[in-house]
This record gives sequence, C-alpha cells and structure tokens, in this order.
Amino acid sequence: MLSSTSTLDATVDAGAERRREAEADRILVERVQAGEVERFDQLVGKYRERIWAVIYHMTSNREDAADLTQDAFIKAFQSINRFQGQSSFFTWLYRIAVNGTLNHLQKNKIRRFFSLEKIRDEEPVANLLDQLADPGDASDRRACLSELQQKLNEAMQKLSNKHRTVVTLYEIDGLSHEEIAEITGTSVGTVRSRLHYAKQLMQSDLKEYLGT
Amino acid sequence: MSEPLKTRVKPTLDELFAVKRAERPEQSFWDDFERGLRQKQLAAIVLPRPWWHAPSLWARKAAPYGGFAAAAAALALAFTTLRAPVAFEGSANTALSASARGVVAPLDKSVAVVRPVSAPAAPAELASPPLVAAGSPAGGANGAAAEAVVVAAAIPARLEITLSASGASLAGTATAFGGDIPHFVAEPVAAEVLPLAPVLAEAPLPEGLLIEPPAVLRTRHDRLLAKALEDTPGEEDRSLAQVRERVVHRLADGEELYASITRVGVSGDRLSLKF
Repeated sequence: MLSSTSTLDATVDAGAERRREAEADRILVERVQAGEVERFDQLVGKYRERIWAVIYHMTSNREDAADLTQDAFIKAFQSINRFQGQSSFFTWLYRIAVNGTLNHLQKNKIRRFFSLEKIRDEEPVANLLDQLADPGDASDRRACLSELQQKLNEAMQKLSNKHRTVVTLYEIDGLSHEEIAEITGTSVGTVRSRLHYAKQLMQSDLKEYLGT
Repeated sequence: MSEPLKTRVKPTLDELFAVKRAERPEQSFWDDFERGLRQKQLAAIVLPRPWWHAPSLWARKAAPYGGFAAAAAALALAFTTLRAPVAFEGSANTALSASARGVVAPLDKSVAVVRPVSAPAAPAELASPPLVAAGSPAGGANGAAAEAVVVAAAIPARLEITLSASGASLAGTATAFGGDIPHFVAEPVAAEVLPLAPVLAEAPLPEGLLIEPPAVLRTRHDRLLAKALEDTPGEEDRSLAQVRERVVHRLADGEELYASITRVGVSGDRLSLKF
C-alpha cells in the first residue's frame, strides 16, 4: 500500500514537472515568435542531448546523429512561426527529429556504419559492470562494456525502423506510451504492441548474453 | 556470431538499456555541434530554399497560374496550327510545299497545290526530284510571258497534284517531275488556264468545264470558285457543279459573308464551308 502510494506520488510529480516544462517552453517559443530569436538557443541547449540520444540510438552513428539533430533544430527554427501550441514544444520537436531520422534511414538502407559512444560511469552502469567483470581489472571491464554495446547495437539495428523508434523513445529516453503515440502519430495500443514485439525480438536475439 | 561474452553474471535486457542510456558524447562533441548548428542556421538564412524543398507550397501557389498558362498555350498553339497560312513568297522563283494546312496565295499568283495520295506504284519515267509548281501572274489576259518554276522540295513520296489554279487536266504534268517521285495523279480543276510551263501548257483542257476560267485569281469570287470546283464532278453530274457555282456566286457577293469563311472543302458531292 505504501509502495503504490509512493509510485502514484512520483507519477503526479512527473506529470507536474512535465507541465511546468511545457509552460516554460511555451513562453520561450512565444518570445522567439515575437522576434527574440536568441531565445531559441535556450531551447537548443535544453533539448539537444535528448534529441541527439534518440537519433543516435536509432541510427547507431554519432556523425549522422549530430547532423540530423542540427537539421531538426534548423527545421524547428524555420517553422516555429507555424507552431501554434496545440501540442507541447518538446513533442513537436521530437516529431520533427523522429520523422527526419526515419526519412534518413529510409534513404540510406544499405549504409551501416556503427559507432560506439563513450559510456559514462554512472551508478547503474557501474553496479552492472561490477557484476559482470572483476572490478580490479580495468581492461576486462572495458572489453565487457564494448562487447555489450556492440551486441545491443546489433540487436537494435535488426529491428524495423518503427520498432526501433518505439524502443528508443520508451526504454532509453523514458517517454510514456501516450507521448510516444503523439510523436509517432499512432495509437497507444500500437505503441504497446510494437514495444512488446521489439523486446521479444531482442530477447531472442541476445539470449546467449542475457540472464533470466 | 562471435564467442559469447564471458561474464560473471549475465545481464538482463533492462540493464543493457541502462548501459545504452549511459552512452553520451564528451563536451568537445557539443562544442563542435554548436559550431555546426550556427553555420547551418546562417546558411539557412543566406541560402534561399530550393523550390523542390517546399513542393506543397509551390504547388499551391503555382497550380492555378500554371494550369491557366498551359491551357492558354495549348489553345494558342492549336489556333496557330489550324489558322496560320503558309507564307507565300511573292517571287516567281518560289516553291510552295502544300501541306495539311491551308495555302494562301496572293491575288496575283496561281498556285499548284500538292498533297499526298495513296497511289500504289511509281511510273518508271518519273525520275526527277520532288517538285511543286507555282505560276507567275502573267496570263493570257495581260499578255505577260509565261513561266514555270520548278523547285525541289521535301514532299512525301506519294503525291496527288491538284492544279487548283491552272484549271487544266494535266496528266502529262507528271513527266515534268522526274526523279524520285513514284507517282502523280493530276486532277483537273476549273480555274484558270495558265501557261505554267511548256509541258503543262500542252496538256488538254478538261471536258465539261462549266465556266471560262479567269486568267488570274484576282477576285475572291475567282478564288472561291476555284476552290469549290477543285473536285469537279464528272460529266454525269453537271448539275452538282452548277449548284456549287451558284453557291459560290452567292457567297462572293457579300463582303462580310465571304470574309467570315475560314475554310472551303470539297469532297465528292459535298461542298463544306467553315465560318
């Protein structure tokens, strides 16, 4: 009972935080639309890492991700006068980025140059690495991380573009089903279905590396 | 597939996602990113967007004008093709290549019209280049010297010649056209007798002419009559020719009525006028 109450509180807090963020974005967008174009830099600084991460995990290529992220911001800047605030700015920006990435992937089906990004030594990753490899052996830890990255990237790239998009937005970026449905222009049920199917495929593909 | 990872404990899929979440570039990457973004922003301001980048907007703006322009161009082209006469040079050394379009000759010229025919074989004696004859205005009436002009022209291999201005049935005309022309059929028309060339002048006049052909197609009446009687019926149907002649007289009487005629066509027992 206590657990469910705290979960509910966290959800309410997250919702309230999202609304505050959306309101702050709306004010910034209105200022940009009014002519204070330098305010757009604040929006870029706020969302560039998240947008880049989404695109990077969809493409598995850091240079492509950088280009596509820049293009998404340029497109958003050019179209900002057409943004009417019917959805939140971040949803609108994500939609631009995701659609641009899907178009890019569609045009470059053959191209597959994976690049591995450096992993930050954050707490969950450090704990995982402690379990996977000997904490005293640095080279062993690096090899473990590198191979895990590679296998996960390969498994992600075996998914279709639509399934990879949903997995990226939900599992890595942490968006809700509703937000993903709004960004991808599908129903919540479709998002859930794609997510379930994609995780099944990945489990099957990585079964030699995964524990229960 | 490579050898499976040798770890002390196998991770779960959620833990692998946590590893993926931790993949982030260093600060230097973001410095380059900012620089690239700034350059692209400037480029987007300086460089105009190509029209194909905004096809919907372009189509929305251009479609009405484009459609109207295309329709107007098509109409103008059709009008020009149907109505524009072939330019006729006033010189006696002018060849007139007849085509599907109408031929307008000046008042002081008589013209031989050449048109395709589906004659099967070419007489062996026809061995000259393709020709079209144009007669000088000089006729018996004004007493000027006759001359004939024979000029090479690109015409179809099979031709039928209608001497619309000469009025003579000139079967022998074909002999004047040597070369590669396989076959000619000379058709008599009641118009005027012009001494186009010696070989033409020797040809006998067709029997059954209803009127005396004028020396020169000077008046609209003459030209209209010549055209109307281009396909003169045979002796067995003289009344048809008389009817045509009467029609022509009526049409030629009125200046406005005549001016409104855009095309005259004769075929068998039909005389078609297009206003």
